[in-house]
Amino acid sequence: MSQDSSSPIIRSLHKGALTAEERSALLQRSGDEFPHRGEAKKVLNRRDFMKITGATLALSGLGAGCRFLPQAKLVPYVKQPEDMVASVTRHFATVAARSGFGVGMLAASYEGRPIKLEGGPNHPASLGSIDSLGLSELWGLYDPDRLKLPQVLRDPATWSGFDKAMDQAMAEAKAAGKKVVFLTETVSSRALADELLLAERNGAEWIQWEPVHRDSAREGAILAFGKEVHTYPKLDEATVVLGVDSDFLLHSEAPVRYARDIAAKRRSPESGEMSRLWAVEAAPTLFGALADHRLPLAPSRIGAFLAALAQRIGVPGVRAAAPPEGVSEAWLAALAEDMVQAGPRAVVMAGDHLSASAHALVHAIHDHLGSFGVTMMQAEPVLPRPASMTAGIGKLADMLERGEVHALVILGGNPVFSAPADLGLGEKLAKAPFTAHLTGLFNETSEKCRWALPESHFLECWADATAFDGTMSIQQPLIEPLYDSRGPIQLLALVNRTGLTQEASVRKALKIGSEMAWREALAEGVVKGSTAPTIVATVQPDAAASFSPGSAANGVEVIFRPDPTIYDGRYANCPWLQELPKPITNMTWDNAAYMSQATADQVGLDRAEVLGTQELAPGPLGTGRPLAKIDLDGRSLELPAAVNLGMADNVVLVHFGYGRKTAGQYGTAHGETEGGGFDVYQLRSSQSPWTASGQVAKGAGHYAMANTQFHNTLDVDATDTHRAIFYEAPLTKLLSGEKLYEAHSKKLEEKKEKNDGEYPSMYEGAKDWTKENSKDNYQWAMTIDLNLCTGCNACVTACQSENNIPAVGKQQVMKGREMHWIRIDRYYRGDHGKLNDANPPIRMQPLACVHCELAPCEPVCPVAATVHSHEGLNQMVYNRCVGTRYCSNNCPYKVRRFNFLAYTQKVYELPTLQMAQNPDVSVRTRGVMEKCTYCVQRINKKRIAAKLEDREIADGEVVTACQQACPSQAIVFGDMRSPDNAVSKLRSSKRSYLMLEDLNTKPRTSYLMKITNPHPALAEAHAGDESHG
Amino acid sequence: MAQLFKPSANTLASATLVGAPLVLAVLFLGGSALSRSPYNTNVTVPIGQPVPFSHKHHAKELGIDCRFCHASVENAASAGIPSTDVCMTCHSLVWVNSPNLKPIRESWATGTPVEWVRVNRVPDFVYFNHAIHVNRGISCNNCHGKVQEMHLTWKGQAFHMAWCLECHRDPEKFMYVPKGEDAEGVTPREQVFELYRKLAAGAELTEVERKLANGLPQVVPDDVVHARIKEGASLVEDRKVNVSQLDDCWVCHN
Repeated sequence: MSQDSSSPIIRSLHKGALTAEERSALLQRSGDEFPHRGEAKKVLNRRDFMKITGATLALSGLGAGCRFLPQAKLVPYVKQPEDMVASVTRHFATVAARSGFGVGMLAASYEGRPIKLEGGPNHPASLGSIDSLGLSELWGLYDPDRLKLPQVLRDPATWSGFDKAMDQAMAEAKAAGKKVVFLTETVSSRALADELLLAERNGAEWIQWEPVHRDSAREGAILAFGKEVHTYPKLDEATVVLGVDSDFLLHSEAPVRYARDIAAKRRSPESGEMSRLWAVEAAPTLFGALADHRLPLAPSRIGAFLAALAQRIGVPGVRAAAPPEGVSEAWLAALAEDMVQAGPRAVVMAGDHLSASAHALVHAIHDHLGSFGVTMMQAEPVLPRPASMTAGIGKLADMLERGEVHALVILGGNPVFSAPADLGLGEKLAKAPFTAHLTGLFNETSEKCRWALPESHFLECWADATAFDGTMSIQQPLIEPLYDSRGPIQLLALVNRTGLTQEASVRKALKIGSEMAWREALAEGVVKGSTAPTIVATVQPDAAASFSPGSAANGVEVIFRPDPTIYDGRYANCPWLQELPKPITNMTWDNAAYMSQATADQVGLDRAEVLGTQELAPGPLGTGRPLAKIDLDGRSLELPAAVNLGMADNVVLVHFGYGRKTAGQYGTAHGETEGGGFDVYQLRSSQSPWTASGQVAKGAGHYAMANTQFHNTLDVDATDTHRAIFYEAPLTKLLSGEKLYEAHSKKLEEKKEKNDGEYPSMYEGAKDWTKENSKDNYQWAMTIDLNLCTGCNACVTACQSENNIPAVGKQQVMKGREMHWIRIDRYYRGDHGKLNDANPPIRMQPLACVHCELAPCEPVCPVAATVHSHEGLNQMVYNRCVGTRYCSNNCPYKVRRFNFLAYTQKVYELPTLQMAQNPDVSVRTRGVMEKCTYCVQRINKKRIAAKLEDREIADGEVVTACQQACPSQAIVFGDMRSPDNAVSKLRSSKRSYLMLEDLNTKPRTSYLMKITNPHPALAEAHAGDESHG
Repeated sequence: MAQLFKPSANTLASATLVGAPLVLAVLFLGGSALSRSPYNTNVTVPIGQPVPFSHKHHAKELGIDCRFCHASVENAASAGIPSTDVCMTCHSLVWVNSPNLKPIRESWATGTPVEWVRVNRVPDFVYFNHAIHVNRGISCNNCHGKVQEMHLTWKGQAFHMAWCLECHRDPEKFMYVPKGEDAEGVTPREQVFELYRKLAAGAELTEVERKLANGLPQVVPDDVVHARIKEGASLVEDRKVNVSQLDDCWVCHN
C-alpha cells in the first residue's frame, strides 16, 4: 500500500513543494523572521514605552477599583403571552430559499429575537443539519448596513410615495403600450409565483435571473426525456457515486442532505459495507477531496470522458472512443466495471455547468444502469416556473435596449452586478423611465434604480419555499420587521390589489384550508404530503447517440464558479462568511485565480510567490501573490494567482461574487489592505457562463492575501511521519484485522512500557481527573469521524454564531489572529516523502480544543485562568485572564485564540449586533484568551433540566453547536463513563486514535481514522499515479 | 551656612516612614470598604419605584405566594417580573382609584409597559439560574434578604463572588429540614414557599426558619451541620447536590 499512515501529511505547501535552496533563497529575500518588529520600533522608543506602560497600569487600577453600578430598568410585558417565559429559548420551524430551493431551518428565539439558525429536523434538505450559508442568514437580519427606509434617487422617501409612483408608472405604461417587468431571482415560493402570474395576466412580464443557474441541467433533461423533468439523487442508496465536475457537497439544491446521504454508506466501514466514490473534475471540490479516486481533467475533455465511459458501460448508441488525454484506460475500465457491477446503485452527479448534451448523456447512463427510481429520482418540475435564466436576462436586455420597458421592478438579487458582462445591463437600466429595487442591502443594482426599497428579511415576513424533492415549507416570520420594510409578496399584493395579507397569500397558494393543517405545517416545518410524486420518464433513444463531446479548448480554459463562501456575492457583507476559510484553499476575504503548479510555471509566475509562502511575511515588505492577467474575448481582468494542487493543467479557476463596489462596510472591495477581491462577473458572458477559453499572462504587481492555511500549524514536517495527527488506512487493511497504524517511535514505546503503559508526561504533578471524578460527574468527550468529514466548514460558522465569535478583518487574519474556535486543517497526503503536485490526496481534519485531561495550558497560567472542571472540561475563565498567552504557546494543538484588539467593540456600539449575540455566552473583550468550551452553556442547560426532572442527562441529549450543524454527522458528543453511550463506543472503535497521543495529554476529543476504499485494480497505484496528463 | 534640617526633622522623618504607609493603607482599606458598602452596592438601601410596591404587604400581610407574580422561578433561569395584567388581576377590583396605582392603570390603558427599577443584578458573565436553586430548597431570603419585611424592596446581598462561593463550597450549611406537623412530605422546593406561608399565618418558626426570615447568611450552625453529616443524614446527598462540581468555574460563567 502506498497510501497509508506511514506516508507523511503535508499542510503547508512550501514545506513539501520547495527545495532547500528555494526555501533559503526565500528567507534571504524576506530578510527577517518577524517582519512586524520594525513597525513597533518606529512607533515607540524605550522611554515612551515606559511612560505608556506606567500610565496604563495606573489607569487600569483606577478603572477596576472604583466602579459604581449603573441603575438598570426592568421592563415586563403589559400582557404576557401565555407560552412566553423570560430567559427560555424557544425554537420555531421556518425555511429560507437559496437559488430556488428551500433550506428548512429551526430558528432559536430568545425573548422575541432570533439568535441562531439550526437545521430543520423534518425538512428533507436539512434533516437537522445546516451549512455555513444557512447559518449566516442570521447576519442578514442584523446587518448594520441594511436599507432602513425607502429611497428615491438616494433621498429618503416613504412607502406611500412609492405606491403612488408605482400606480402612476403602471398607468403610463398602459397608455404608452409599454411593458411593466418584474425581475426576480429563482422563485421558489408558490405564493410569490401566484402574485407574479397574476401580474402577468394583468399585462406585466415576469423574468427570472440568478447567476448560479441550472440552465443546462434543465435543458439536458428536456433533451433526454423530451419534456421538463426534475431529477434528484438518493445518495444513501448508492454504492458507487461518480462526481463529474460537481461540487454538490458545497453548492447545490441540497448540499446538506447530499452530505448526509453520502455519509450513510461510509459510517461503519468495519461492517465491510462502504461505498466507493469517484471524482473527475477540473478543480478540487469537497466531493473530490472525499472521493476514493480523484482525477483532474480539463472541462474540454470531460465530454470525451463521459462518452468513453458510456461506451464502456454499454450505453447503446454511443460510438466507441478512446479516453481523452489524461484518463488512463485502466482507470476508465475500473470505473466502468464498478458502475456496471453496482447497476442501479451507481449514480452520476453531473455538475450544473456541464453542457446540456452531457446532462442528457448522464441520464442515458442512468437509464442503462437502471438507476432511475433507485438512486436517481424523477419528478415533475418542482419549481413554480422553471425557465432559462440566460435567455430571460438576455430578453430583458433586448427589451430595455428597444425601449419597450416602461417600469422595471427588481425583487431582490443584484442583476446589475451579476448579469452577463456582454449584456451591459447596468447602462441599459437607464432606458426604463421607472425602476425600483426591493433589496435588503443597498447594492450596485439599487444604485442604478430610481427607487431603492427595503426588503424584509426572511425571518420578518411570510412566504413559502420548495425543497429539492418538491416538499413545501412555510417561511414563518419570527420577528416584526426591524425597519420600514416589505416582503416581496406584500409588495406584489399591493401592486396587484389582491387585498390579501402575506399569511393569507401563502395559505391560499399552498391550498391549506383547515386551521389544524396550517398549524401542523408550521410546527413541523414541512407541509405533509407535499413531496413531488415520482414519475417514470423514459430516455429518448437518440439522447446518447446525438452526444458530441465538444471541441478542444483554444488557449487556457477559464472556469467560473460561485465563491465557496460568499456564493454569488450576496453574502459579501457578512463578515462571518468573508472570514470563513474557503474549503481546501483556506483563503479569506478575497478571490484569486487558481491554477495548477504546471500552469503557473507556464504562465511564468514565481513559484514561491504563487504558492503563498510570502504571505508568512505580509504587509510592509510588499510581498504577496503575483497578479495574473486573464483575457477573454477582449474583456480582461487582473487578479492574484494562487496554486491549488489537484487542478487540471491549463485550467484557471475563478470565483465570482467578489469585487463588490456597493455592498456595505464589510463587503465593498477596499483593495489589498481590507480585501474584497476582484469582479469576475466582468469576464462572464451569456454564451460561456461556466467555461471560456482565453489567454492568461503574468500581470504587473502583487496582491497580498489572507490565507489561514499556514496559521496554527502542528508543525508537520516531511520527516515527521510518525506523529499521530491524521491517520488513514485502506478498507482492505481494516477488514484484514491488521494493526491499523504504527504508533510513534520505538523509543517512546519503550518508555511507555517502563511507565506503567503510559507515555511520559511533561506534567508529572498533574492529577488524573478522570480517575478521581468519574464516579459523581459526567465525563464529556467528543469523537470526530475523519471518514465522514467533508471539510465544508459548517461547524466553523455554527461555532461562530453560537459562541459570539467576532470576525477580525483581513489585516488581522494576515497576522494570524482569526478567532475561530474550530478550524478545518487541510493536508495533502504525500507518497513516501514526495508530494504529488498534480493530484495529491486532500485530507480534512476539524480541530478545536481537545480538552486534554493533562492539559499543557493549565500549569503555565500564572493566574489560574485556565483550570479543569470536574466534568473533564478545560475551562477558560475570561475574567481571570491577564493575557500572558503562555497557555497558547504551550498548547500543542494550537487551538487557543487571543483577543489582540477589541474585536467585539462593534457589538457594544451597534444595537443590532447586540441582538445577534447569544445571550448564554459572554462577549469577550481585548486582552483575553478564549477557545472551544464544548458548548458548556448547552451542557449547563441540559444538566439543570435533567436535575429538575430528577434524572441523569440521557445519551445524545447534549448536542454541541458544531455537532448539530455537521451535515454528515461526523461529530459525536457525550458522557464517556457509560460504555453504552455513542461516544464511548466510538472511542473504543478500532479506528479510534488520539491526536499527538505521544504527548500523553489525554485529549477528550478523539478521532476516527479515515478509511479509503480504492478499486482493487487501482489500489497499488492509488496515491500518486492518477494523473497521467 | 545654616543648618538645612532642624533636629525636629528627624522625628518628622521617622513619623513619615511609619505614617505614609499607614495613610496609604487607610486610603486603600477605606476605598475597599466604601466600594463594598451600601453606598456603592445599594444593599439595604430601599429603591424608589414608579409604583411603591410593598413586598411586606403582599407577601406577608396578604399571604400571596411568591410564585403568583414570579411565575417562572421554579422552572426557568429568570424568576420573571409580573406583567401589568398580573397586577390588574386584583387591582381591577381593589384599590381601583388609588393614586399610587396610576402608572399601572395607565400601562393597562395605553399598552406601554411599566419601567421598574432593577434591584438585584448579577454581572453579564454570570449565568444564574433560579429554578435549580429553588428546587434544591434554597430559600429566596438566602440571597434576597428578608423580602417579606420590605416595604420598598432593597437588595439583600451584594452578590460578590466570595459570597456565592460560601454556599457553593458548602451548601449543607444553607439547607435545613422543616420541622413540625406541617412538614411531613414537604419537598425541598415546597419548603421554600412554606416559610412564607407560615410567616403570613403567624405560625411558630423553628430557629433556622427565624434566621432565614431575618435574611441572615448562614442558616445552619456549623456544629449542627457536622452532627448531621456524622449521622449520615446529609441533606446535600439527599437532595442530590453534586458539591464537587459546584465550584467549577463554568457552572456559573460561560
